[in-house]
Amino acid sequence: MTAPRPLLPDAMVAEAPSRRRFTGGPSGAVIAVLVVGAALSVAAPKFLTADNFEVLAYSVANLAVVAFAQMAVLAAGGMDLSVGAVGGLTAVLVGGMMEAWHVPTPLAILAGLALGAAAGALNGLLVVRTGLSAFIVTLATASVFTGLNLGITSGQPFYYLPEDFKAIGALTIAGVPVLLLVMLAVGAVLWFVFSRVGLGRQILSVGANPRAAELAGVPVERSRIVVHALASFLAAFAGIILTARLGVAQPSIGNDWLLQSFAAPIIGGTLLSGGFLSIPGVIAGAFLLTIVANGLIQLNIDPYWTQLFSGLIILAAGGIDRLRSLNVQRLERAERFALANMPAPRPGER
Amino acid sequence: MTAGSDQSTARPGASASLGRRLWYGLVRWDLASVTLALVVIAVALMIGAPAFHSAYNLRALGFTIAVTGVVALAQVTVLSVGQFNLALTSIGAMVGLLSGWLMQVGGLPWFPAVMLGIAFGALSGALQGWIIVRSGINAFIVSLALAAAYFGAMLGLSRGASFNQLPPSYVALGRASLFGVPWLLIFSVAVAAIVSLVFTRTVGGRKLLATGANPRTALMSGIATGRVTIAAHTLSGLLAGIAAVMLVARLGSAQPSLGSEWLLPSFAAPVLGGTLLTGGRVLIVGTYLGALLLAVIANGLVLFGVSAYWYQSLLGVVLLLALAIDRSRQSYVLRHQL
Amino acid sequence: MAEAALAVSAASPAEHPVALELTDISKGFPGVQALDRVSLTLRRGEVQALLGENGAGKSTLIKIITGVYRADQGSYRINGEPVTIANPRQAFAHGIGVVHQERSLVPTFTAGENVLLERIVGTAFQVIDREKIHRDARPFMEMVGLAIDPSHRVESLSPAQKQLIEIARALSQNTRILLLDEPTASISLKEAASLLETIRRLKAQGVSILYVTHKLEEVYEICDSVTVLRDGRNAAPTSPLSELGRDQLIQRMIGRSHTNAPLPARPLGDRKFVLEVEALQSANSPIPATFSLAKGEILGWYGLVGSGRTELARAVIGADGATGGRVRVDGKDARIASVADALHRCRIGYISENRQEEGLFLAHPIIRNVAVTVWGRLRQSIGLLDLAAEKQTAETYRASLSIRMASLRQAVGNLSGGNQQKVSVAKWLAARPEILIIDEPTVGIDVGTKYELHQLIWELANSGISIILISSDMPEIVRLADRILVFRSNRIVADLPNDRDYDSMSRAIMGRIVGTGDDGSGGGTRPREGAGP
Repeated sequence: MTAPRPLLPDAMVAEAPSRRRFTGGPSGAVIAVLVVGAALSVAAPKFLTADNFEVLAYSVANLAVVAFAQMAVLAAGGMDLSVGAVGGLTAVLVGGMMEAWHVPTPLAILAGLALGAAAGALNGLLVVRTGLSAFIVTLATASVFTGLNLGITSGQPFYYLPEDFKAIGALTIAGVPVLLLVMLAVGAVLWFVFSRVGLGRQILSVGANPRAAELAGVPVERSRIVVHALASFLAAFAGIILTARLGVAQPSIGNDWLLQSFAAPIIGGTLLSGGFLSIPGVIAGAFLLTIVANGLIQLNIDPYWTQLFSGLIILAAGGIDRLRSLNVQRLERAERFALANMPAPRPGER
Repeated sequence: MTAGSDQSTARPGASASLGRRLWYGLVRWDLASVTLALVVIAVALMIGAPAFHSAYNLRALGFTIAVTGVVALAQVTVLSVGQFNLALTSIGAMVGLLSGWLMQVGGLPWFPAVMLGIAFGALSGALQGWIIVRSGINAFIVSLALAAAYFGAMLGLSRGASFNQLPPSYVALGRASLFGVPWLLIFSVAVAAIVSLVFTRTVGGRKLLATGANPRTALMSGIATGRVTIAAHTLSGLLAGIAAVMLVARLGSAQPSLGSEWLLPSFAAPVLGGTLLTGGRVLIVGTYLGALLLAVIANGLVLFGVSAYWYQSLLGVVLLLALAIDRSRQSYVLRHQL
Repeated sequence: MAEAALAVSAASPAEHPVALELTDISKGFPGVQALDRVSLTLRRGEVQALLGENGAGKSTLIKIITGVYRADQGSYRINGEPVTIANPRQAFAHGIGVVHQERSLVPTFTAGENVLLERIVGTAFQVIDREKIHRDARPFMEMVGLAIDPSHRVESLSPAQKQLIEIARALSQNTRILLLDEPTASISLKEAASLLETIRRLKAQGVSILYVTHKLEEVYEICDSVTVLRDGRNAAPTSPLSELGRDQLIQRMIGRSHTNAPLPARPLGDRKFVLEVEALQSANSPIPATFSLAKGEILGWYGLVGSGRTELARAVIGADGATGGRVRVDGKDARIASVADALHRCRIGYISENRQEEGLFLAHPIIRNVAVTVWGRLRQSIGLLDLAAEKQTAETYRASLSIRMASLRQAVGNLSGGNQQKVSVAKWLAARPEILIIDEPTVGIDVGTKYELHQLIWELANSGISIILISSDMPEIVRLADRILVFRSNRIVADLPNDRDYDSMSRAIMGRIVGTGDDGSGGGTRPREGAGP
């Protein structure tokens, strides 16, 4: 074998790749948070108080974990309509285990998380084995889980939860709620999994280009099942921490999670089309939704209007996602035709 | 492989036994699953719960099917073009409350109030369709967002109020029957007949199904798919409005919770009845059979004294089972080229 | 590092002199024989061109080599050993790499991660050292001349760079047989030059390359041998390029020993223009195009795939919005903003080349497929559809086009390709257009139906309908067209009257396309001189 040939200067295609084509990202959400936050600090006197921060922190913590769940499934190219149902079911199961069966808190929590993962695995298996769309499968399982929830509790919350469990929800460290730190820790773990761990990278490749992934040997079906299990695990996690915060295991937990579970990731730059996610973006998106809801209260706007604002924000987020994809199309077309325009017509031709 | 292995080009079963041919015919029939389920459950109920076929119970069933059927039709119109209407719950609530308000506070007679409500429903649907078509935003997200926005707008404007001082003549309509058959059911079937006519005998219906079957081909064949899609959403809103005013009459009151339980049945009934989620094919009769199945299941739970809370679970399980069975039925048909 | 990587892909001394040998490969689909006893011999370390018109069978052959299809018969040997390749993974495992025109990358991963995509497999619970992946990917990237930082996200690279990433990927997988499908189609001249340089380097390391292209300058620049396919067969056995001149090569691509029976003469009629297009542009067809169409004329549009004919047709009929230029129909300015406009206002129809995805509703019955363009006309007085009239419309065309079906209610998807195409045609005939654009009507169609369609097109023109016939089938276009526009790289490069003599017309047309035509000019896309030893 001859020595490696020296690379010729002409042969290098070393133009600096431009960043302009980067489609997803948290920057927009972060800017929006800063802008809205600034506006609210000015308009509402009680916005910047420590008390309000605590309220905001708990809200963001909960919402962000639910949003992480949807983010993961979206990145894999699917969706999960059962996040709220799983959260609620886990909440009452864990509450019931602690109140009715006197299961020790740590064990109950672990059992709840395990059940959540199992529910997700069920979702994933159904999607993969039946070939049905994730939409209809998770719509149906959401109904099953909610029904189980109501059937078990008959709509009645579990009020008598152990003190150590409730303490988790109330604990603060230097004024910062522990639950917020827990959420950040979860986010950090997810960030690590999706950027540095084989499983996470496999999931992302499946969401971005399933055929290329399959050709490379990525187990596409297994990845889909795993990501659904992960999503429901996170939904269960969110249900548990919300229960700890409330101090009561309410069957109605998760009722309003669906919309925001989509809104936060999309606002934060997770692509609807899959293949990309942004943890900071999700947190920023959760933050934005929370301060908007909070701001409405601060500004004494009727709380009945909150849903309207949520809906409009998601519509805006969808609009941004659409603009991004239009931009990508435009740039790709421009590149294709920049070349077609290059050679001038030769003499003798039209 | 199949019977008659030497008949490689003839359709399998062409000269097979009668039993075989019946089986193939059954497997090819789109309504096989739902009819089978209905027969099984109905027989089980008739044997196990004699109260099932009492006049009272059958009338109650009739009322349920009447509303569920129209709700399912509202989803079917959008399914026909291959999309979902996740906001029909909110549109229902808006229309119910608007009509209630017009009657109770506005003092309008029930007919114009109901007509205005239904028109408003159509308008809401039209807006949804317009946003989806013009902005190009992911239709799922638009529908999800509007579900919240519409509901929020309604809550904000009504402040959670409900209306139960409605004109007695209106409420009476909700309860009245003709020869034991509730008027609402007759009306519902009439609406279904009209919708069925639209899909089978009108140009508009053909265009809806073409757009759903293959939007690209439809566009390239000269169909204005954007307008067709908006029309589908408008019709959906209209039907959701009709279902809402029917329900208000039946209940005698208009509440913000109206329509909150509609989402899953609006998908389950059509799917059970053979309508495709991907668009291009609708079966109205099948949709009503599906609605009937859902109502009978709910009814059965009541008759057997099972808590109503388990209904949701059972609904989800039934839907999954029906979908899975239908999938395997379709692949069986494909494999044996029936 | 580079040495180690190069050593991995170095030729082992025991490798067989013939890397890939296909013998008598045949592949048929319902109604059409895509390949008929095709043979190909690719020697170790050589670059071979695979040439042929559209529909000649190149892509089917590539799919068989890469395991997407399995041949009906014939032998497939790698390194002298017969192999059975049942799917793309197996082809990959045997050292076959392919870089298609469409990208197969994970856009949100980095360049290095894409080159070594396999690294994320089998490491589900392990931490991935991305820096190491980037380091390990660098030698493969350098091998293809890509000196950028592997940690750049792939979606921010140019098309040429992305293509190189895919080649680097193939190399990292120990590819010894590399298939490149039109690699210089969407890249600049400079990038094409460096790609050819990369290919030379790979050749020196013993990689065997099959190069699909239609650019003869590149073929003569870099290839050692050539296989030409025509109508699903070998035009000649694999031959060394040194023995073939350009003209001979072109002759192999298009020369045919038989010519079809000439069609009966058509009256010329008054040649007023029914369609005049001036500087028409659209997002997908950005180069202004100007042409006209006379009444009763058959205007052929010839070009290779990707030359922009369909895109221009779509601009004319309003499927793509016009961003500039004018269209006049029958002398009057026409604003065509949608296909519905074209059809209903200007009586222009378009039979799509992609009948399955754009021309038909596969799940719907034949009646509905045929009547879709004329539903508006079939209303009864009370506004309902006249079902009997709808059925009659379909029945009329079933008879006149001899469409073979079990019943009119049969789903179109169940028909054979030829009959599906007839339904697609019937749909547009029912609309009674004045102008009909027909896009690749006989691709994948059996010969019998093909001649029926030719007859039909001839008769339509006879009856006064003006036709634009888009085709990549040289004999077809020479047989039917009165005049031929030649397309290359999204522009119209020639407007040739058809003298109906196959040999001279095909040479003139092909010359315009590969750039060595009768116009006396040399190749226009020749890479820079001195691009390497």
